[in-house]
Amino acid sequence: MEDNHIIELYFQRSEDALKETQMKYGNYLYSIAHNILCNHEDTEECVNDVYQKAWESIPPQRPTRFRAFLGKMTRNIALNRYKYNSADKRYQGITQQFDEMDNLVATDNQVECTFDANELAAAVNAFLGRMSKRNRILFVRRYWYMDSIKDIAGHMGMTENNVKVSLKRSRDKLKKFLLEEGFLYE
Amino acid sequence: MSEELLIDVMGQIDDKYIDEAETGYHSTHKMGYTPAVIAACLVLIVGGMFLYQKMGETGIRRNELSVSAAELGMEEYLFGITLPQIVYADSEIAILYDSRGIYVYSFLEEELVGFADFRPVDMTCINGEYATMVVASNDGRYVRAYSMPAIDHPQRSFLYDVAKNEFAQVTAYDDAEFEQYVPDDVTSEESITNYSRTFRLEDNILIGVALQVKEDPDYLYRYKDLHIIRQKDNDVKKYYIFE
Repeated sequence: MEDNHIIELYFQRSEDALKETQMKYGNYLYSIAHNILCNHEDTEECVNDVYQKAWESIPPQRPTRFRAFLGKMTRNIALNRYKYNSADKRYQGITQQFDEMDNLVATDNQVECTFDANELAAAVNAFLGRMSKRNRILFVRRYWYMDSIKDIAGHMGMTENNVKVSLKRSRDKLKKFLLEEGFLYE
Repeated sequence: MSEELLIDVMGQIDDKYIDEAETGYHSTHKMGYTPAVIAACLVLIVGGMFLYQKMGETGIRRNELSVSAAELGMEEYLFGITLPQIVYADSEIAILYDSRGIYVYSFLEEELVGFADFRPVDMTCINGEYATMVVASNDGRYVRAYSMPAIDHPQRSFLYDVAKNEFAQVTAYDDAEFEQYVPDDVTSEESITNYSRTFRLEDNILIGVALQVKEDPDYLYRYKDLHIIRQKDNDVKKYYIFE
């Protein structure tokens, strides 16, 4: 079923909306949440939370990119659950991604600065817009979808080492960009 | 600035990049054919034809073992989120897997003829960092299921012998006897189902998995509702795997 038809079902308050959403995007949402949580039960709960939140959000919202809309919801809910539970080390799923980002923001003699997170998001979007499509897909798969290096290598037809090198170069460029834009100081 | 903030900010990137990374990702390896890959494919095709011919000469394909869905207790199981995916298909069989295990369906006998259970060996995680990866050989005789190596999580490897219906842990794989099956994914051009990717087999047969949609909005979908669709020209046939 087309996305606009599914959204119309939400507006009609038809429970078929949830069924169709699950049919079409269930696997997609599961994989996003599972990449972060790596736990079947928590992932199922997370995805169910997404359906409930979608039901509560539409209407009034009418997403133009339904898949990304659901995906963002899933990522946010899964990350919140990850942060809530990571204190007792239940999850190992995305510690590598956090470590890689930690290396990006760590600078010598760094001075903390204050800024609006929305401004930073706009800067990251601008940075993504400057990247080649291939590098951008690599970057988004790693730090948005939280895919493993092995999965990315398999899908992109690259070696794991090539993926790591490409991601490292992209992180270095992002760091340089954020320094130039005043989000980081040395 | 913290790494956590950057991970959070990534959550606010433009929707178009999220979509691009999903659609571009699954088609990238198709676009990335190099002469070496094409040559490797030709070797696989010629090798596959040779193996097929050899099997035809000996008359040995698979044994008569059959496994009923009832025996597996699968038919009334409710679906979670992940539907079984096809990892191998030809004119005789389809091999699928999900978090419960590997299923072999015979189009000739129109029933399950094999099952490898992931649950007793704790291989049910099929997504994420420690995921179980499942790949089939290009002759459909073997399926490898192995976990991803990670800190505090050693890699484990299993081999499923389709003909013998035997699933066992192995210390290492013998690459000399295994060429990975790479399906001809035509989802972007000729999709026949909303529930899975569409693969093209020999003789221009299209194949995918789907669910029988019910009128009742409260209906909870079960394994018995899952079927394989095989389409050749306008002739569509459904095979209910778990009925």
